[in-house]
Amino acid sequence: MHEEHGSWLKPIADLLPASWHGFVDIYVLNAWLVMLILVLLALAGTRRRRRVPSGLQNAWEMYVLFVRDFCRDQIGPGAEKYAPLLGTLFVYILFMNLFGLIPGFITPTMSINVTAALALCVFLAVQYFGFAEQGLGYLMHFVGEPWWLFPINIPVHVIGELAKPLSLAVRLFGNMFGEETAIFRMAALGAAILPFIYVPVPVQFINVLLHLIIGPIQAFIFFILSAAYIEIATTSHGHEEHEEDDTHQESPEHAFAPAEQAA
Amino acid sequence: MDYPSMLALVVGFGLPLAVMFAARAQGNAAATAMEAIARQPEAAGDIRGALILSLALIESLVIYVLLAFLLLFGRLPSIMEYLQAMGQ
Repeated sequence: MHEEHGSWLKPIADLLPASWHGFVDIYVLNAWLVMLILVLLALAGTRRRRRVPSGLQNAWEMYVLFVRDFCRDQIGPGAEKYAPLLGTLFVYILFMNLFGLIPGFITPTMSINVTAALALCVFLAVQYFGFAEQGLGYLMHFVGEPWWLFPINIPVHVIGELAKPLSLAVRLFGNMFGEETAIFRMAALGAAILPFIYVPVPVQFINVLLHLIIGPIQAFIFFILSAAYIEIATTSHGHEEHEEDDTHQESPEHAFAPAEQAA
Repeated sequence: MDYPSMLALVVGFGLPLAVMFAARAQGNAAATAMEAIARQPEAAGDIRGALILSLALIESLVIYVLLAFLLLFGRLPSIMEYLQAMGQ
């Protein structure tokens, strides 16, 4: 439906060799264009760096600081190493979500293949970070809390782990596809009532405004959920509890020690 | 009831049903978060983050139903096909 109503990249898609059909469609071309724009923006922002930033460099510095501080707050100290992955995901999905608002282009996240690829990246990264951070102790996540319940816990945890990329992909796809479909239907409605009222009315205007809000929110939700999954995978639950017990045991001693000395 | 009618009923009423309950749940979550922010304005940042996360998780259930809706919607017969099947 959406492929037929036209895109400026359609001639390029027709020029592609026949062996690429089925692999590179119009959504992938739009995603590549977004990548190109982001790379050019990043190059332009970091080409001549100044001590007192201005313009594009200022914007990129603000964004990098935001992502770094978010990782520190959400995942914990030393989590700056996840900032490149999460920051790239956020800005890439943000640009892709808003890309369809430019006339003649298509939102690449409207295709479930694009969102599934992104969710698979997050899934593999989470598994990798889990093993890199905790070694084989990461597998204890799947065993669960009373270890003798492992015949029930392991299948449940494996299914839960596989449901994460599914929900990430389907959430982004569903939101973007639903929003774009609503805009398309409203535009078609505006075209359908044109012969009766003789005035072109932008009926889809409200939906476009809604898309302007929902696109960044969905990118931010993808970002938050990826950070939450990384946090779950990299922090071991049992270790935290021991730390808490230690502090609870230590704090009364520290509290009472000066009092006893004074007495 | 024949199969196309039942399919049409499911496609027509399934998504609104899910939206009704999810809207109720999201409104509940948002109202509770507002109360929490009003009670403790200094914790507004944390509460807002948790609120967005929980709203996303509730919303994903509706999105699952939307996916099922899209899958079922493609299987609906057109009106002419349905009339022909009824005539036979």
